[in-house]
Amino acid sequence: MQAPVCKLVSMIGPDAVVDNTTWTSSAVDCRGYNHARLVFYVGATDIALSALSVQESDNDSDYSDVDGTVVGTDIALDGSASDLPSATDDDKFWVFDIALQGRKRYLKFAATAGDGTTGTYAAAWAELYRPDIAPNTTAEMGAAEHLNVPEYA
Amino acid sequence: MVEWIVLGSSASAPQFLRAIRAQDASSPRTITTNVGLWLLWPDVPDVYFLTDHVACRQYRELAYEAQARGTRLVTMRRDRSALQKRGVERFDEFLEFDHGGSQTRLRRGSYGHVIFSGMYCLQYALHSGASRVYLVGMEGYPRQDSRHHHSKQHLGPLINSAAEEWPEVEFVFCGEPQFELRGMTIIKTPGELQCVCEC
Repeated sequence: MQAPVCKLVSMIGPDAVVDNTTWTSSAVDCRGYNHARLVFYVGATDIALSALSVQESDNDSDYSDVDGTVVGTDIALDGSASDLPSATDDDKFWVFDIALQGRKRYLKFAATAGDGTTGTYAAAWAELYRPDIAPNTTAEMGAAEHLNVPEYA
Repeated sequence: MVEWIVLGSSASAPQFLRAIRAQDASSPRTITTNVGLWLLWPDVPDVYFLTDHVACRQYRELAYEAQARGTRLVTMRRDRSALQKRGVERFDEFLEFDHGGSQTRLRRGSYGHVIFSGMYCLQYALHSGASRVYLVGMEGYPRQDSRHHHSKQHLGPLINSAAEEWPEVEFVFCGEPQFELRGMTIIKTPGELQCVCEC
């Protein structure tokens, strides 16, 4: 089976604990792709996040929330109200699937750690799928190395 | 009467703790968190609560020593990988919490997230059927400390809400609170404890 073609883009590196502060998210240029999966990964945490959403922009400057991605307000895939990461949600993923047709070119996270005594570790990345022109090198896939195990004969 | 000492770590804690233990013949049960374990050592508490990832790294080894000597170790239920990273997977009790952000009010029947580990201890004592709670070493951060706002916005309201939610419980606050308190006895010096303990 063919591995899915995907480009990876780092958005928030797993760098430092954050408390009562907004993470700095890199923007993802989605041009040339038709589907984006954004993943926000919560590491060790002792306080709930106070905000989490995906934002979009035409010019990588003026951003606004993508409708349907405001966690704590918008509905999750299972039909229930989505919940912000709580103080016990270590090692869990918040996943945002966004069809890119008709959307703005750039995406980034708006995420703010709650005001606790120690804080929250987190990382985030984007997986861009369904390219107009498939990446054909490891670097174009956003990877440092790419190891592939073929089907067992 | 089921009495609990909820032990924080402010400077007055050791002297109030000694005074209560000397004067209260009913031997209150003790719960503490984080550095509170050192305040008691070589004695150990009945219950030790540990949750935040920094404190877990610092105190988990000492916690397991206390466990071997009879202390019940309590933490929050998390995914197994998170418990292992914190090194608390061999604790005795894993508390279930309501999903959501930090609370400024404690409620019967469920554990809510709060930003002070001492307030988890208070919830534990209350859910364990305390009829009198001594709050020791829980005076909050002083005014010059950058975290003072936490005391004012969280610690005071949480303690006051406990007194409202559990009106049948007698609350005895020991020390000089850095926030407004209602509905409880406030003992500012260990010498004032005698009447409370004997009543």
